[in-house]
Amino acid sequence: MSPVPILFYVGGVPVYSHGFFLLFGLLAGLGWLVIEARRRRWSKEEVIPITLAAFVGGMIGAKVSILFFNGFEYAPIVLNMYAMFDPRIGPGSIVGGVVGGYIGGYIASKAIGKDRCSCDAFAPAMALATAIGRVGCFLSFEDALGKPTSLPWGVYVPIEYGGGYLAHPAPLYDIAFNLIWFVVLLALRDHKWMQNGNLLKFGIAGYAFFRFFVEFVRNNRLLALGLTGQQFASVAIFAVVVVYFVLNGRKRFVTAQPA
Amino acid sequence: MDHLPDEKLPESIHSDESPTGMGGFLAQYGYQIAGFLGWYVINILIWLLAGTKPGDAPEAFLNLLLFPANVVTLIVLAIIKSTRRIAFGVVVALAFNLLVSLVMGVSYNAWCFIPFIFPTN
Repeated sequence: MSPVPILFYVGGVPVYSHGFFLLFGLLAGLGWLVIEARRRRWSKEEVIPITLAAFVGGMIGAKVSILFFNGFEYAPIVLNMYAMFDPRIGPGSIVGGVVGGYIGGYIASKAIGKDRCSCDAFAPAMALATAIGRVGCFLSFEDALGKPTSLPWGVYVPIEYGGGYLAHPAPLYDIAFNLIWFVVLLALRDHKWMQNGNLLKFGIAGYAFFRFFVEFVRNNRLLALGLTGQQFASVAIFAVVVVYFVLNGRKRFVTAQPA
Repeated sequence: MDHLPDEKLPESIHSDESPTGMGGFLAQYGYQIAGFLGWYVINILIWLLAGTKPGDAPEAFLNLLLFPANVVTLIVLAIIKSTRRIAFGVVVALAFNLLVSLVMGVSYNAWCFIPFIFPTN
């Protein structure tokens, strides 16, 4: 397996696999969101502002999170308004994008006076978008794919891509998980406990749980305690969602008790 | 609308006024258009007045100030009820620019913050 940084040319202009699958993933996620929103009879007065805000929040969160994951020496680039729209700079981290997207969508939901969350439509769409986007990460051998391995499915990463060894194909792990997670979320989407924002929170927590473990075979920068910033963020996301479900479940239990 | 009768409808980002002609259109979408165009006008004016342009030293103070100022302004506009429709226009402007950069990014080998910027360790 060799890296495929360029997929094809259009009139002599290269189409890079990373950028192509990133865009394709986002569009596929948007397409699924539209299908899911129609199925849920989610009105366009809600879906348009919330989706736009989630997109903007996600893109901002993906870049700003680099400050936390890679260090504050990146502030001059991350906080630069021009860099935000510079196509030469990649989008940033998915973990940061998920958090930023959630915050953006939440602010928009509150701004339009939404008292109940219809944002569960985002859950399977996010898993699908991530799975497709990771194809580009794999083809471009981003971050030298992963840590060295002697497992039979290890992929040789050329020295010029920062490797020179057989590596864990971490993006493929991500793709496999997200495709499975996509199916799981579809199966759960009509469950009575997975409504009013619960499916989205469950979906995000599931990815955070997976991401914590897959980070051990990725080449991201260690922050402290032998863990990466993405792992700290994953633990925080997972913990917040678990606390939410516990408190919410207790509240429901207390409400259901006869007086 | 496909809502249940007892379901609370969200506060619309559109005006309730019925559009008739250009005046009606502006009455309905004027704030959104003002937010969309205003974002470009204000940011371009600031950049021009500061004499900065893309490619300038990224650590320029104004550049560092503009980004958080934009985000905070957007959140404030979204929170205040009377400026919510302007905030929607600003969000559309930001989303449009981000989408353009993503489409353009297809022809650049830009990974997640690399190779333009490599991690230092």
